[in-house]
Amino acid sequence: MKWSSLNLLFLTLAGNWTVAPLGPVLVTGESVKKPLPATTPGGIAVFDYNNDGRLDLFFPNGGALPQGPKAPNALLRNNGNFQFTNVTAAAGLTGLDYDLGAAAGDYDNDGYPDLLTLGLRGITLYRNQGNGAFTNATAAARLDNRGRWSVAAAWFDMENDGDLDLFVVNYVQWNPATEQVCLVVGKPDFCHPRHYAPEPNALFRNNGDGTFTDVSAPSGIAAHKGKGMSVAAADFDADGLIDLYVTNDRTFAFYFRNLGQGRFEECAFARGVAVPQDGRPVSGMGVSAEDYDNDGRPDLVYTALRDETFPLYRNLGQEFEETTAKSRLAPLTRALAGWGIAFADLDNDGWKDILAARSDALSATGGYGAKAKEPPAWFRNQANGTFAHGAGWAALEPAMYRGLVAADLNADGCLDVVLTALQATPRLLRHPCQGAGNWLSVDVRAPGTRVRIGAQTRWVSSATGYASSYLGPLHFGLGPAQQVDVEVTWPDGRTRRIATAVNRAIQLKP
Amino acid sequence: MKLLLLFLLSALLPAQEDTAAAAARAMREGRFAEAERLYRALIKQIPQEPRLQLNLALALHSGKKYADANAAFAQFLKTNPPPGPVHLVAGLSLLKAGRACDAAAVLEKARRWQASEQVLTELADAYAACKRYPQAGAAYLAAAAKATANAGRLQRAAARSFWQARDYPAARPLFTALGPAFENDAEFLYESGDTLARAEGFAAGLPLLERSVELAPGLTPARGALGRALVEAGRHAEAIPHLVAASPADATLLMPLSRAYKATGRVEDAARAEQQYRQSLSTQN
Repeated sequence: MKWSSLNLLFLTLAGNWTVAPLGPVLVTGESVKKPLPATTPGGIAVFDYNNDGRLDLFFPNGGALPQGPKAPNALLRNNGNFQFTNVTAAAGLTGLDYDLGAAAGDYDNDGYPDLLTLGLRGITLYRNQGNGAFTNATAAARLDNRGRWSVAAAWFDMENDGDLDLFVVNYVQWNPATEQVCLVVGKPDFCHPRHYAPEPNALFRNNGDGTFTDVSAPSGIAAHKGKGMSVAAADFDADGLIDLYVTNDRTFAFYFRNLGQGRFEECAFARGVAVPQDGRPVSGMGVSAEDYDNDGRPDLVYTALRDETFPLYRNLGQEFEETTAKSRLAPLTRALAGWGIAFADLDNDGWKDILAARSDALSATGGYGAKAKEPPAWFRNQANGTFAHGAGWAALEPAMYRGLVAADLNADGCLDVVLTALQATPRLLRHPCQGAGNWLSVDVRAPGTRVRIGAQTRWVSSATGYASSYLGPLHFGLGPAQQVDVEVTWPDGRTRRIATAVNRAIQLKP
Repeated sequence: MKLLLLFLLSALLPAQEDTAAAAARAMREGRFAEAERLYRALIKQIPQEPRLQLNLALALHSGKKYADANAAFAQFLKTNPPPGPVHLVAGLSLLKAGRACDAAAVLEKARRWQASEQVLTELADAYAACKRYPQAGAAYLAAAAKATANAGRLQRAAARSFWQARDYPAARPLFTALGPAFENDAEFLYESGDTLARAEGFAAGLPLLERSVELAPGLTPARGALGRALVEAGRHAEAIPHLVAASPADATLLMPLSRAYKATGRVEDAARAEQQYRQSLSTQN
């Protein structure tokens, strides 16, 4: 099928949600030998690459393993009304190697978002030239991830100096020549992460002249080796500096507290977010940081595998309280395995729900067989600290879902959902937008910016879920409100307040 | 299982017929070593007769020489692959020899021949020993559906298998239904309480875990599960002795133990438990 122009065919689900295939197949390179990288692709970037006001979609793609033909990445330009055009080749984003994740951010402050791809053998920085094309700027920017297997990244301004620095999440050391054959329920399957050595993450400081300096060691980041899967960037302790939370696969998560002056302190145990409080280590996958209880502080939720639950942490200011059980998320997610995840207000009631792309880490042709496939799910925030099953997605086909990003792709005021799945075409879940509450879309773009509307607080962050990125307007569900006050605080401390009517998109600049 | 599978042999020379008859008599009278010796002698004379391999396999199996029996069964099944009763005995022999995963494959063939209570039970045992718990649970349930006398025991085994498979939605109704029959069984109460704690929250499992530990204070995993549930319930002081008792066998319990110490003001103990936890888990990963 040629994907130059996409006319999406939506199938109707319960609750009038509709689903359509979108873009080319995500190629994993899985074979009977079950090479570990084949279970990890599937990131998504949602960003407006051409500044036309519509959110475009980028899908990094894998290829043959251990090293073979690359499956081309895909950039889909949003033409409006769910019409997309595949512009990958013209944009120069076909890619060079096996890619898993992506992160959008305007590192050179030229007003056009650039794109970083995370791959099995390193990272690639694509500079947006502003004319629809990108150029490979990795070498010119002096970005070198030393050939490490990277999965996710966050663009964030670590020193509040006005330009975006880069944090890269690295997974494990993988050598196809020495990879073992592992059996699960008597069948070859992906090996447990304990079979692979950990890697440190990487931090690159933006020099403000189009180049970066690797500050992984002096910042304190490189001292901590993990098996990183995803990152959330937010000012968790409200000290004006963006902190980082990194999920690790079957080992302790990292909380890198930003001390300022380019220094970070790993203090996940002290903050209560290293492992769930019952002490059972989990396979931390995708992560989302948002304020689910509307107390003004960013909380954390991440996906994990079956019998691990999706841990939820409520931010108390300096420490976190694990609320997985109290929120009812523990019984809701006990039997699930998940990858992509997002806090997102699907019903526009002013309370952020939890959306998850699900499936096991094991192969659908391995020990678990087809049971490794699961349908996506969402959990409705009941506005009292608890969650319940969300309606409308039950009929979605089970698949090996990985990436998930919530975004209002047709500007109708309701969040649609983009999903990837291994060896399958991505899916677009179109929100029915009937009976939902009022809304406001606030476009401020700069990562680290805080936006408050009533009790709700959101932060601009390029990193979301699993290996994914969202760089677009912040969506606020507002329930029955007709008029709201909006307060925007940029990373440099400048604040702006406006009053506005609801059900519209606004753009604010410092 | 009583073996009635001796195959009669035809087209033998008179002396060979005598030997075969003596071997069959030895089998009937429980002199399995003698039967083995006679069948081996016959096989030397007529190596192309697969049924002799089968009879030898049956003699070896009956004589509890399972490793040798497995080789003889394999030899026979190589030339007689269609599913049949031999697969059941061959599977049993593999199971007895500790080759549960191989036994499961052979018993799956026996199930194709006859999905009886006995075949399904042996297959479920093989799955369980091979740690294929989801399949074990399903096979035990299928066996229970055909059982006349053992249904409760098989359902209990199914509940345990689903619990081991961490399939709590499948395990929970079985534990609930079986509860009255096992109200004084500490292991049942532990597995049932753990299922409820995980599927519904700690409060649901707490009474069963308390009862389990009351019945069997030495059941360490139950004490660990009870300790965790008590911490979640905010009953930190009560949790500490259980977590102390169970943490040598399960280092993950050091984390809730640290929480319990911290909540009861034992700051140094809390720090030490957390440090032990970090060291222990770091070496595992």
